[in-house]
Amino acid sequence: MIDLLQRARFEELQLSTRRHFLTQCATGMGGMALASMYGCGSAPGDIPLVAAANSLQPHFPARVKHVIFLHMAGAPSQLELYDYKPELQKLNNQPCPDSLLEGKRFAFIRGVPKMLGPQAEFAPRGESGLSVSNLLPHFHEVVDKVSILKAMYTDQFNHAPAQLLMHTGASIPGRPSLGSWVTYGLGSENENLPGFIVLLSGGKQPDAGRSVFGSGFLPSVFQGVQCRSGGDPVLYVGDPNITDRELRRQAIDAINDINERQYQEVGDPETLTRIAQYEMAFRMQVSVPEVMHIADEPEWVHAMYGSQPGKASFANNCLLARRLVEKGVRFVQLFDWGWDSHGTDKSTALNFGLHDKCRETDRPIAALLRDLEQRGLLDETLVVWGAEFGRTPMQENRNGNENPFLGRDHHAEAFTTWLAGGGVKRGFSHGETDEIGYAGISGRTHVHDLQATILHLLGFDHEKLIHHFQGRPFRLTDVSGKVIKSILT
Amino acid sequence: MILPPSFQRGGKGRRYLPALVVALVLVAMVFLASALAAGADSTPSRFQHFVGRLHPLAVHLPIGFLILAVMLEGAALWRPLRPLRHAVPFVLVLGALSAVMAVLAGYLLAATGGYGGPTVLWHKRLGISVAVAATSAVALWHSYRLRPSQSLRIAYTGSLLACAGLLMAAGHLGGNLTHGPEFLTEYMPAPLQAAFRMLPGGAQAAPPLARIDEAEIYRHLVQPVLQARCISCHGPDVQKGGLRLDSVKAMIKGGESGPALVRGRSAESEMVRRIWLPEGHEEVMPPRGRKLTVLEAELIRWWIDEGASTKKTVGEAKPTPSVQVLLEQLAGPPEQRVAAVLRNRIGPADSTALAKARAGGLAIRAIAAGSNFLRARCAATVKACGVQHLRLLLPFAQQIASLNLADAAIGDAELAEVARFSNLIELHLERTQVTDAGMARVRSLQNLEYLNLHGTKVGDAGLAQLNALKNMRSLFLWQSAVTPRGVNQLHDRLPKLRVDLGISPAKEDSIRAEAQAESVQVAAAKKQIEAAKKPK
Repeated sequence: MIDLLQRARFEELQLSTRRHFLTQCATGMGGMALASMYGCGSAPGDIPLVAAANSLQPHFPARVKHVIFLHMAGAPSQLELYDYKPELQKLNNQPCPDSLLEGKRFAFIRGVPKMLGPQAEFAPRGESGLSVSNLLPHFHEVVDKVSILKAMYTDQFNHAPAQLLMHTGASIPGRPSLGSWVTYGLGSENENLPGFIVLLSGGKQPDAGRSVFGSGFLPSVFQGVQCRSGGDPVLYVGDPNITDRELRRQAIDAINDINERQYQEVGDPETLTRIAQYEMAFRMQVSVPEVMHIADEPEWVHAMYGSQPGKASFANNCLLARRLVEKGVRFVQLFDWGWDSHGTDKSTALNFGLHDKCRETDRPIAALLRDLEQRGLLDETLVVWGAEFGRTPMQENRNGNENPFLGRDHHAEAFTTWLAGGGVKRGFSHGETDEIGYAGISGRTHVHDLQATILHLLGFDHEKLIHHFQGRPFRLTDVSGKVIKSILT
Repeated sequence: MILPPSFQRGGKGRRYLPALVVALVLVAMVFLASALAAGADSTPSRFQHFVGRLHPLAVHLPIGFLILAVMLEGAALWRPLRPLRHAVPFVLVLGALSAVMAVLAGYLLAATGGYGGPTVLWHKRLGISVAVAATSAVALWHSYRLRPSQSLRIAYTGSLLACAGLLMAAGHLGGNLTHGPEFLTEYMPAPLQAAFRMLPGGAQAAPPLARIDEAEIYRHLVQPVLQARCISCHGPDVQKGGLRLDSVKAMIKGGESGPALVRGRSAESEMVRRIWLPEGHEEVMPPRGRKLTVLEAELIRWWIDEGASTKKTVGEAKPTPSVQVLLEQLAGPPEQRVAAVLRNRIGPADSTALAKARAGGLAIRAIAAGSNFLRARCAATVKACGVQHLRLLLPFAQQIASLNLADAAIGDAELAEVARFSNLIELHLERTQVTDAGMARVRSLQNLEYLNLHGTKVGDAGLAQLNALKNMRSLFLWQSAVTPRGVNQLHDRLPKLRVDLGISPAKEDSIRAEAQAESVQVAAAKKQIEAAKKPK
């Protein structure tokens, strides 16, 4: 067989003439020059190959070591939860003035919609007196731990692009996600677990799919690893019945040996990533089931979170997030689907579905903050609560017709996000929207500003955390973003 | 020549001229000084005011003439420009005359009241010296012309140079009086600034405010503004309108327009009214130069509304939104708001010891790029973290700023080793075997800001040991033996410390009961919702 191949190659060479040689040289050299000029493929040397061992150094001392990002996918209505607008109640049911509609585009609103007053009651809560809706009774007890951003805005009014913008800094797929950038920069604090873990609830993936926790052009070792709270936490993490630990070790050693030779030959850095992943997977076979086994938590902890072992729920994910951070996981990303309150049916109605979602998440979020605090983890963890955008102060009229239930359309110009944890002010509110909550009037913060702030708290200057790819330096915040200094201590 | 003819050619007058001029000047000065001392209490006339206020204008004449005289002498050293020497006497006489005029006007200005203190005193002394030196230079030049000699030549040159030097010093202090001491040095490069601080009336640099919450509002924020913008006219040197703003007592006492400050009531405080008047208003303060910035004015208003305390810190007051903006500017970039110890310089950790520690199962990383301080903890691959790991870190204990010993086999005995990490700002001892006895060791870690003792046997007695840790911000004591009483006692000593006792065992039960009740409630509510019809 080999002889045959060698002979074929020899024959081919014999057929090549001097002219062939010269043409190929010319185009070949040109191609090489082009490749080096535009930097196709990154130099293997400058990529930290194994997340845990070889990370970059933060630009300045970090305030937090971990991030828990609670993304309420679908976008909850800020007007029912955190941004109290009594003036909007006065305008309830009145047609929306033209000035708010001219030159604007909405996802579903057509024609002239009616204004919709807040569908919840508000009162000042905690010592800080921040206004919080009665839909979040447990949050009232932890409001003094958070900084609320009330005048967030984004560029996108559809779920997928807006989620991509929130997590990758760009509304088109292909860029590394926030968690990837963070683990790329800092590595993991636990050599046995992935640095970036994703937990989903609400029965649906985020609209933008896995791109929102992908590693883009960063080595794939930095991508988010999705864990499930029911069944095998990571698919096929357990060994089949017939293999034992020893056999598995031998198999992985053999595979790594082959990969190592492949790397010597070809020099593709992704091969090294692959070796690292096999090693990590081997250790994860022990560490992941251990950390995901929430049944060993005391009963009162489950009562506090509202979690139930073996069930897939947001509450379980919150408890898991605490356990993962405690074990040193750098970035825990939660997505909870079901907040898209259009009012097209009962489950998306402001006065039905939204209540259910609040009930599902309020208790576990408050429990998470308290639990992190008492373990001394909140000082070194940043908890971010938010969504891809907000909702309109107008009632949605899908395609010009009145929706059967009370609902609001997607709104890019104003939404609420809160942060809690090390380096963030406690019981503080930044930014203000106008009297009907349509747009921010002071302290407006863009999605890139939030990303810059998160990186800042982790010790990174967002303008300097850069990866070169295809001849262009890339960063999470693209060409914008300003650290929201007023919420920092 | 410009001198009167009787002095120009022949005649005895020529010989007496220098003595006459110097005598005249001195007599005039002495006469004025005594006249002013006598009339210090009487109200100055309008004319006195008018002439006095010409002083800042008049001083520029001697400055120009005398400097020009020096420059002409200097230029004449070069042969092609030698004829310039003939212009020197003309310029010098003008300089001397205008210097005397300026001194006279200065006396009158000082007499209009509101001036005193070391800067004014030295400005006066130096100003008179300039006038005397200038007239002496004229006299010496004249003597030299009559009977040239080397010694007269040297004396003349010396007095001319002395005159220039004194002029600079007097002018600088005069500038400080009108523009404030910060004016010149504010944007000066640092080394020059340091040199200037040696001079009387020089500016003092404000201390950096690393932790803005702990800054005293008066001492660190308000006083520097007053110092820069108000004290030059309302301070120890000058008291325009009889008002001093260099102490709260003096502000409350006020001046001719009544009290400048009413505690807690900015709306009734005269100084707030004056600084908020529009530019160009005749009562606006400061009357010259730039107005206070909005932020500076807001700051003073806020301080008065907060009770005009000299002790209150920023953290104890509630900042208004605009004050918040100012506070952020003063606090500097947030990345620099770190523990003081991290700003110290320290050499790098020994690389062989570092490599040995890493090989021994420790995860060690730099706290930041360019810093030699480190974070250390046992790697997750290490099964039992213990004292053997701690010992691996000892060769570079000074470099460790954060040490995580959570769940390690560490007890009171091992804390003796931990105490050697004197630059620690963060220490995790949660779920270790440490007890009260070990807290005496932790007490010596003066830089600690974060201490986690959750899940240990530490009780109130051990907690009392920690009351010397002045830098500590957060202390975690969940599932320890500490009682709320112990926490309160610690709080009395360390009011800024945030202590978390976590959820008590009694609370655990109530959480369980409450959760159960809620689930029943939710089920009932859901049933109700199901039963409800569509709203429309």
